[in-house]
Amino acid sequence: MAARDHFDIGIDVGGTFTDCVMIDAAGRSFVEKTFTTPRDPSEGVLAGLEKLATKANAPLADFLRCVRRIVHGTTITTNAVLTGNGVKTGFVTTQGFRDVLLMRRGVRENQFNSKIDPPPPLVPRSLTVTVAERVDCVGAETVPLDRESARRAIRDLKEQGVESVAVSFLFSFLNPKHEAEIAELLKEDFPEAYISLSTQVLPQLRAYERHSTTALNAYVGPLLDRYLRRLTERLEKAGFSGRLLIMQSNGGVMAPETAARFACRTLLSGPAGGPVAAIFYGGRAGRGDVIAMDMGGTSFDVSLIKAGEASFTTTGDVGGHAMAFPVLDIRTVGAGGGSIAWLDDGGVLHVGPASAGADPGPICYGRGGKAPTVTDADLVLGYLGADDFLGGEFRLDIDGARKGIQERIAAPLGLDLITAAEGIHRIVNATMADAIRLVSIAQGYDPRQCTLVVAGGAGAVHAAAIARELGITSLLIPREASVFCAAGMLLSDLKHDYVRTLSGELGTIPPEKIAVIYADMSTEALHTLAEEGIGEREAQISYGVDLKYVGQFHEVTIPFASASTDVERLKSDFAARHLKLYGYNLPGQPVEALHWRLTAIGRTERPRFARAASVSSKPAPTKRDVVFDGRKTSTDVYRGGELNPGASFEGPAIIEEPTTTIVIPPACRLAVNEFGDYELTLASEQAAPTIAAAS
Amino acid sequence: MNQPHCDPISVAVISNRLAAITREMGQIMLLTSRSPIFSESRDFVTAIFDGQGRLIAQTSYIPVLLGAIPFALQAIRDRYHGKDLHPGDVIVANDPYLGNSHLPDVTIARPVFYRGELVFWAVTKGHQADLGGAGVAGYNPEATTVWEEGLRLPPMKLYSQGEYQRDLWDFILLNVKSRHLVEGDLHCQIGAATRGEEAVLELLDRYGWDAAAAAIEAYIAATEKSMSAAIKKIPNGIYAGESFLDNDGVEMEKAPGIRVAVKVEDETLTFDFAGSDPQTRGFVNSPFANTASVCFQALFACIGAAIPINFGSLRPIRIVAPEGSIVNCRAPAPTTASTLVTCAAIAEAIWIALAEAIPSQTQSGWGRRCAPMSAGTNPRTGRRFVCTHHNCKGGSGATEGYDGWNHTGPVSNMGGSRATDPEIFELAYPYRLFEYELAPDTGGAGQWRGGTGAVLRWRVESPDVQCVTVGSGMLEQTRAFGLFGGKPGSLPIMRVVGGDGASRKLPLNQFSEVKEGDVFELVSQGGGGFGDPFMRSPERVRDDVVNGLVSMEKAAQEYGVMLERRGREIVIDRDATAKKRAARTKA
Repeated sequence: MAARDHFDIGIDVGGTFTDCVMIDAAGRSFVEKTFTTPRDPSEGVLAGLEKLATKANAPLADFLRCVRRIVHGTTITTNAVLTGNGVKTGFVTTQGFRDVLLMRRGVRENQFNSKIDPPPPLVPRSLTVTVAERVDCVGAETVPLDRESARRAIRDLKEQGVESVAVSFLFSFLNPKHEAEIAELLKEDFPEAYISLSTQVLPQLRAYERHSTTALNAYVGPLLDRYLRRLTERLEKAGFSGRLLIMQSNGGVMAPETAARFACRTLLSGPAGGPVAAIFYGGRAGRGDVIAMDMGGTSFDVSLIKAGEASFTTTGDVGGHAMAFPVLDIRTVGAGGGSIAWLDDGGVLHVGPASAGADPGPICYGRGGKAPTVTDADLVLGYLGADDFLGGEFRLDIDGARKGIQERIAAPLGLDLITAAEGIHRIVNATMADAIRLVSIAQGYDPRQCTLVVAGGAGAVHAAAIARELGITSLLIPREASVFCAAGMLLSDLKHDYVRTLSGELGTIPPEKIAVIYADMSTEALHTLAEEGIGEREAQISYGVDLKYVGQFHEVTIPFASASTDVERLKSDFAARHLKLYGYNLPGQPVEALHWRLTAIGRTERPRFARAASVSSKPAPTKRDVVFDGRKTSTDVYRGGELNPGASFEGPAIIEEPTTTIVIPPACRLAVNEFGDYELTLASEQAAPTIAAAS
Repeated sequence: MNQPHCDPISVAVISNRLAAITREMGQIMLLTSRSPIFSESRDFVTAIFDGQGRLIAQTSYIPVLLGAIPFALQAIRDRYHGKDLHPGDVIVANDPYLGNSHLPDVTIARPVFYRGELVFWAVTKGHQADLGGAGVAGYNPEATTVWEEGLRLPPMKLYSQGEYQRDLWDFILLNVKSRHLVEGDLHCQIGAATRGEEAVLELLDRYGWDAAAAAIEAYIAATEKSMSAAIKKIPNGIYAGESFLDNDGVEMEKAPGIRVAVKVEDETLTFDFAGSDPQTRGFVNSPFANTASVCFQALFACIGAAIPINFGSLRPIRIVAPEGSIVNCRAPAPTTASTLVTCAAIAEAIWIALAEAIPSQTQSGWGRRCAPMSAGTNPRTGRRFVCTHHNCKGGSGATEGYDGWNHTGPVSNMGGSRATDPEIFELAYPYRLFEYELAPDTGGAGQWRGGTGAVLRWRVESPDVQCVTVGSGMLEQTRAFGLFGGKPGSLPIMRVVGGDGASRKLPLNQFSEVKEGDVFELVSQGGGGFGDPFMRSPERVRDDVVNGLVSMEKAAQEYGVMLERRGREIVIDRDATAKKRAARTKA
């Protein structure tokens, strides 16, 4: 290893696998997967680094000294919420309003099913304490904080053994005084507690959503804090002296110290590398309007990217608890390789949302799975090769898959095996296409104008068929498709979102008030970035405001250019956006502002990906029977490594990569671009699949 | 003509797509509404019908609207007889005597043409903030005819062949009090129907009419089969149930009664309402469409949670309601409270009847709605407001194996609507909220406890507020019932404390005069319990006490669980509990 060698590493800890991507100084990328170690995920991280060190041909300590940056995505916070294993948390709120957090706005998600319990509370009622204090809806203090009752509440929680305390008072975002006072008392009387204040976590309107986000932060904060301390220690001991950065749900990264204070920002970070990667891979192929899809074993994640910009939402949900911090707008549906095909009482075929998961998994895994799944259908249809799965490490049981589909689906429906398998394939594709419609058409965008960027182990098997369903003609399958999120993490910038609430009709809010909140937010932003090593000059600041017509209850975030607001411009941008989103607008009607947002970005140094190297040997495809549109077709099967940049041919064909398979149907053209990514083009006038309908 | 044959895969793909289209329509409604009634209370439904007026797919965001639109669409089709309908038409209707339920629920229908033929309808129905009349938020308890309740709209065109019909828009908007809300929300409904039209046309372009029609036939037949199979699991027999309302707003001393006989014969099920009280003078009358919708709702909540709702699944269900009765009123009886209030009594009568037939699937009564509706001027904004007080939710009824949910009602919504956020409540309305939390000891005791109600207190901070109380549940025979030894939910409390400190109870279904400075005090009703409370596990009772949802006294009296405080801990006195529980068994 030469002294000038350096490496950037992305490590994504998922439920089953820990994905690692490394880029060296020459821009070459290396991919490794290790098993996740749920008891202490830092072990899996170290194991992944060991493997990468071996690839770099160096002892771990020497190797780590040359690592400039490790970007780390972790789902430990998400898992803690989903399994109810966060820390014992107390919640302090306004007297008279003890249950706003617990009531979850009185919603029962499945109205017709009474045989179900509500999600377990983050904080039980017995650990929710109230304090006499009140601020009214314009921010005036109407009841001062009763310090005695506050001290009692703190003592109560301390005696009950909580580790963490969340505080969220009504309208505290308009007047943070009482939360600041109680924070002082907590420091005096209960200094060992982890403290989460709504005025610091998410100072915005809507009590339940703010309470819930603040409580989530408290519930997982100490866990993430401990984990990151352990990881940092282990890395330092092993010789790492570069920067560790943590992935956030908004597609940005942050320093471990920031993450420990704002742990809730990691709660939906699992798939967050996806859109970032899609922007990058789309961008280098010259595509700005992109739909990112990631199809794994149990779920399908999809998000929309317009002109290189991802979309965000503030209506996140973790295990039935609201998470209102801005997160990438990624929709998830229960459709994946493990999705189970089944017949209802009326004999209608369904696929998913139940999944065979990884264990027992599909029938063809031979681990005791009995229910036919999407992967079984893909195998029967020849899309997957029994001997080629996971680079041939793992032989698939095609006879078992055939038998399962035959007995459970084909025979009861009176269909032949192939038609039934193709049916399973089509139904799951249609479900995924519907998910794509919800993020595109139902938000005012035409998916046909977009490129589908494909990720996940099962993604490239289904992508062309999904594209055909939607009229999408352009697809891009990055070579790192199977470790897509880890690759995205390497490409993420430091990013911090801030919000303040100042409501009123546009044009009547005094500009100086707006200036004050922006001064406040940018001070906080620049301070955080400075801690992360980004100077004021390098920081990029952008602005947005949530607008609605007076009387509406749903806001639309409109970006604007600088902290000085141009009201007329905002109004016309809002009117145009409303028309685009919802098919109408109301010219001349008053517009109301609610939340004012600031996003601060500190650019990280991007690793440079090298162009793909050429191989000299001529590709020598093998053949296998693959079913397209009901017909068995003898199809060329290529190994991923044997195609050079510039290679191009017409389907049908299959490309086997070590961790994914790319299905290229007939009338679909493949081209390998200069980076080694696969670009597919479907003929736009291609006819819809024919359906047998006889009178 | 032979039924076209269709392969099972296309049936699944096309039917899934049609259901997804109604969800896309719903998403547009949620995102574009102006009044919180759509975006927060989700008081709307989206649907696709075929050219023959059969319901093909729908998404009902609250249960009471589950079966409400087929009747409205039928009336629209009858009006036009297949003539005078063109691409680009948008039809509006709300008349309870032409297939609707109550005036605020407005139906918007778009006929969809494919190659010159009317092949589908894209329809939405939703609760508009205001449709005129002398009431508050549409609720006028003094009305004795539908004309006093608001504006009746027979089927008419808001757009004709794509042309905005200014005459009709001007006419409607001139007759409503909250023009800015109604205009926006009509557009919101039309936008959703327009998306429905586009989407079904895309579907036809992709698959062709013949294939789509064949898939729809097969899908309807399959859904009917699912429903028939579910009904077949109910033992044959005739099961009776009865339930009441407190009053009709006009005759205050009479509690109108609803009686149902649920007749199960193999694969068909009949709801027969013979013996129900005659229609009332006041606004609690249920038009046939509403009664039918609630029957479907109550049944699906017991046996059909997983069955899609369409013409096929509704076909094995018959509804017989005597004309001129409270469950099938004749014009011009007033009907506004039918969805929110009468709905609960109809559903409960059915659940009581089904308790004999399918005891493990039925459920106890939900906390009835018992709350004001209010409107007026908000001095802070200078604008008119309409508030439906959806934050006054009661607890849900318990069922075998599961406690009721806290603060989730009423039955018409079954947890489908979100309670107004307390901060939004203060910002949007001239009210200062002092208290909003769960009310201990309100859920009916049972092996499975009824959900807990909530306590709310707020002060009026405007000189211009009109208020109507709407609901039921204040009487012994109307409180949320328990089943199989479970106790009923608490009686609700609804009163106003004036500036002078004097407190007065608010009678149900009346206009109430409120002054600036008055403080409302409400305790919503808990749900009914299920099963003998002495069978409840002592650990669950203790947890409820630790969490302050049940008091120590009630734990002893109603559950026979003896607890004691040891320092911070509350522990079960096993011996005393066993003794207490055994003593009752002997007695």
